Amino acid sequence: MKLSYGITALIMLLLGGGFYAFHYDYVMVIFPHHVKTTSTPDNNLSGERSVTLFMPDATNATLTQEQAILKISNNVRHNHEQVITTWLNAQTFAKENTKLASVALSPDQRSIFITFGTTTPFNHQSATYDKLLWIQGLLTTLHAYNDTLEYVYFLGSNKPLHDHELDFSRPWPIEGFLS
Amino acid sequence: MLLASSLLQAHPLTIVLDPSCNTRAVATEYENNVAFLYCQSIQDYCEQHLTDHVIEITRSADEQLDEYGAAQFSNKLTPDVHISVTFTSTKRVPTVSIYYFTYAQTPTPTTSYNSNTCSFTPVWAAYQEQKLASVSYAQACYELLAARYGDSVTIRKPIGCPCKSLLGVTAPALMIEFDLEHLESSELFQEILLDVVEQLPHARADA
Repeated sequence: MKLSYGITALIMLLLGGGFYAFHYDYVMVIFPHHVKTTSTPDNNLSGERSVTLFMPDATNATLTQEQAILKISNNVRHNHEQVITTWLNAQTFAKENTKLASVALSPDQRSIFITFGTTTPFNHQSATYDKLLWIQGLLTTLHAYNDTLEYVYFLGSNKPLHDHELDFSRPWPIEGFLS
Repeated sequence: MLLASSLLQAHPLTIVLDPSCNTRAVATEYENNVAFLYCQSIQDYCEQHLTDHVIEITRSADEQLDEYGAAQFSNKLTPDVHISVTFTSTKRVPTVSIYYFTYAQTPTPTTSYNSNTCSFTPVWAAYQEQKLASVSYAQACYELLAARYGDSVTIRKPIGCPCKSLLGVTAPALMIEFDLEHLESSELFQEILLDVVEQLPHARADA
């Protein structure tokens, strides 16, 4: 009789301990059907695509078009990164050391977050109109590539871009302000 | 029109001039110094010749304003118009660009703004209070400058964009940027800025 009391108490103790450990995440139970296999995107899966780049021409205050062939993969973020990097390499207006740090897209692909490696991509001396034209070129290029985009957040070193003349604390419309 | 003129005579116009604090090179000078001197000369001229224009400058010489500093100054005065004055020198043709503030509509605004019920105005929505007045004033200035100086200076059509210096200003506001080739042309640009200031009564009367 005493033995059965002891066994019952031990079982209860183990059950209580198990519940406590589960409740406070000391023990995690993962069922096989909850495990999602995270596959690394294969960047070599898809083919090539012709992309129109809109380059700012500050002298004539216009955008000129250029064609570029890009390797497109299944990774949407990577594709946008490639478009922006190609555009940055082709343009001559911004600072030479302007590099793209990262690109992120909202789940619905309406907003894109573009982070540059520097706090501002613009030359200190640039006129406001030239900056607007530069941004217009980038926005038009992105819009031509992906027409689901609506808003663009410009960041530099993970903060909104810093500029004396233009405000980047809120997103810019994909149409820009010069259209 | 007659009523507007008589109203203008009764109440002097208050114009806030906000000289840029940026330090771009303008010929052999810095932008913040050139902008301040321009604004000061306009203030001196108006004190002597345009007594119905009260010019207030947002800062003193060599002063650096904090973010929203100019907007706070301007909003306390509730002027008839707020003009942000900036300069640059890109070594191209002399150009005057006129900007007014506008934003894109964001998908999920963090603060709702209702002009009828809201007791405060979020900084990003301040421009909405007088946007139409800003646009009409910018357009009137453009038409005047293009007619008078279009042959010698490139005058750009007014552009709506998020101008940092106008962020938070509730009065009708515009930013004017002068692209100077040489400081020798400064007298011409001073005349242009004076015209912008003098244009205000006509723009108000038209509105």
